[in-house]
Amino acid sequence: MSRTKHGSPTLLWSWRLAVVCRKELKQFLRNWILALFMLYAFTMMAYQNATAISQELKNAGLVVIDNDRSKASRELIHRFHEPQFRFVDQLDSGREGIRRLDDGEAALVLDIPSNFGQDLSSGRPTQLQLQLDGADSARAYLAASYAGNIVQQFSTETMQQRSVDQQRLPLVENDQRVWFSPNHEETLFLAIQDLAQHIFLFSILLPASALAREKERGTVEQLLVSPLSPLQIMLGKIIPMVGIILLASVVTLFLIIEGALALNVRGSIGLFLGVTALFSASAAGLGILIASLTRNMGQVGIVSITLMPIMFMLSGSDTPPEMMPDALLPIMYLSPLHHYLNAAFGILIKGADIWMVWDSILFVALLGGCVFAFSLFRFRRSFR
Amino acid sequence: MNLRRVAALSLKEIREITRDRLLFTLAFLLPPLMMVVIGFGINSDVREIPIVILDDDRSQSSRELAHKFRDSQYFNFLGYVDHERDIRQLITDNKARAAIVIPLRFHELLHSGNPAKVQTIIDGVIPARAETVGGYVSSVIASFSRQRITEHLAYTQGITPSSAARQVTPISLETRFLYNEAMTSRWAVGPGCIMTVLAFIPPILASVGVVREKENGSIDNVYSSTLTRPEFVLGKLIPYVLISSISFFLLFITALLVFQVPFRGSAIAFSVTGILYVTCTTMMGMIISFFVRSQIAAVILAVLVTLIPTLQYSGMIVPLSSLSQAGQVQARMLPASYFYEAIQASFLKGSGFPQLLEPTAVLLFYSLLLYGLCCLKFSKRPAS
Repeated sequence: MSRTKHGSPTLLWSWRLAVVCRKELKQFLRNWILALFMLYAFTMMAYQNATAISQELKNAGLVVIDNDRSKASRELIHRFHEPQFRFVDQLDSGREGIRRLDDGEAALVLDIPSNFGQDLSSGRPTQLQLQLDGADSARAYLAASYAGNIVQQFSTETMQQRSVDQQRLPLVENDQRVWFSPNHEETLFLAIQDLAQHIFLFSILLPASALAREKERGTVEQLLVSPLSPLQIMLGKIIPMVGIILLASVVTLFLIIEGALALNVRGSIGLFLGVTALFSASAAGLGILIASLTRNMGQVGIVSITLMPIMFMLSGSDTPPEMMPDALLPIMYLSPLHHYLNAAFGILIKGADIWMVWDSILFVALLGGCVFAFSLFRFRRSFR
Repeated sequence: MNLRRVAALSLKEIREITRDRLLFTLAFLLPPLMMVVIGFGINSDVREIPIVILDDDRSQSSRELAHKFRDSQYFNFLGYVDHERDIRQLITDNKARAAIVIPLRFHELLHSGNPAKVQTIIDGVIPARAETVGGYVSSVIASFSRQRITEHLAYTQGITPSSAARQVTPISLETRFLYNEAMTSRWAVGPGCIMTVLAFIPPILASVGVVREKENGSIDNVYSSTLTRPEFVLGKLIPYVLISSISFFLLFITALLVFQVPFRGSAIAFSVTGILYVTCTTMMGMIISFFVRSQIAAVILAVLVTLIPTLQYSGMIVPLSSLSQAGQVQARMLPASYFYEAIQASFLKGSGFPQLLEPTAVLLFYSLLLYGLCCLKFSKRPAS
């Protein structure tokens, strides 16, 4: 230390900061169970969550009550195929069908009337009935929309076949292209969403718990009587953790996403890591804020873990802004996570460069800066 | 087992918890708050999807199609663009989620009774959302198409528009959602929140409760006491299960009063599964606490082992049938998926005791198994 005594104040300031950072880093590494679990979260768990989950419709159990048993009805039933649907059973009575829905064995019951085939060939309009298990709302929505499209398609084809005599009809065909995910490839999206979740979790909890522990044990008094300023103490808790989290993100990106999952991210990884560092630091600021408002680890845990799902819900990845209730919309735009996810998806999936996502990055920096400043203010006050 | 010793330990624990007023208040206040925010925030009712149109045809027909999108409550028509470049820009920037490209000769083809094509471009970054948006776009275009064909048939065959319409739509589909007729998302999400919240609050409370004693060293009192292992586990368990059960009833009441979810099952049977579920999650927290030495590790582990899997594998956000084989195995291993079954059965489906028998039996089995594990894992002679 004596060497630096005569150096410039800035140098001394950074030297002291470096010392606190080293202390925090050592403390983290000594807690090897935690380090091990962090590694697990950023590798195996990331891999599993990206591959096991699907938000699309798959294997929805279908029960058919075919009162007609004609060629037309069989042809229609065949259109409900895998992977979206899974044929469960063919039944005779509607009551039995409802029982299957009650038990959860089936997700939907398709009821075909007895004169279905005859009506179709004679040109009479006919009606099908579809009953869905509305208690499982995520699945019911998807299944209803799929089934609707299948019936629609079948209906249009029947209509076309009937009017063979005048082949030409002013039919509008829809040529649909899905950008950035041509095959409805969910894995990359899920992997990035999961990575963001882990970054958020660890960015809040690591600094918060480091501070909470010092408060509980009373070692924070030692820091206070040392020549460190509150900013240095706070940065000392944040910088090493952000560094560790960035390192873990690199591991997920290269080892899991590009390695094990063999997916290609589009944009610049450097830019992504830059935004991640900004976001992680702001989340760490939030963590310090929570820790300075509470007294022990139990409180820190309850508060931060309750906030997490709420903030994730308000981030817009599950419910987009246009569908969000108006009362919650301002909170969503104030959440750094919302802007971070926009930037992360933009860079990694859409291949956006800095000119396309600069506004999101700016918001992450601005909002994060505010959180940071407020938590520094609270942190200072809590030690007066 | 000496019940007096168990009671003494439980009493001491309850005192300790209630003396930490902030933690005690947070443990009761935050869960209903979280439930309200999430329940009202998760919204699957599609509305105002931002859309742009590239109209190369600029004809009467193309304007009519644009009007269809304008009039629909599901879309928010942002305006016309002049070039495909602009579409890329708008979609990459998250301003628009879909674009319709109407090619040249669109009107000419339709007017002369020929099929015509339009192209739709969907933002695929969030695959599940892309699917929903695509479905709504297709249905608008299909309805436009039917309208044109109806007019065409009525004109060429000289029949009334209504009989032409019958020809155009030979098959109609009547969709009914059982248990949740209007598909109120609140009804589906509210009860699901009971499961989510109770997945992480009890384990955090319990694991921090034990690890704090380890960190403080006060656990040595237990090591040197006459308390046996099963007594210690039970004595620690009772207070946390008690608190979590109160929390369960609070959430239950919130679901009924704030969310106004209809409750159609047996309240007693549901309460039994609820208490068994919090017993399971509490013991998961205790097992975690026997493995780790620091409170940080305990909280993070509680999140990784309970909250994240519960969110992803319980069936609330992602339908269980959509999970991969490995995912389904993992889901069936979680107590949460059984409790979620009980939630669905009790709230919306209104099944009685018989349907709840299986989840109750499984949860009871889990509780006993976890209790056994806790007793085995807890050692009064720790290494080191």
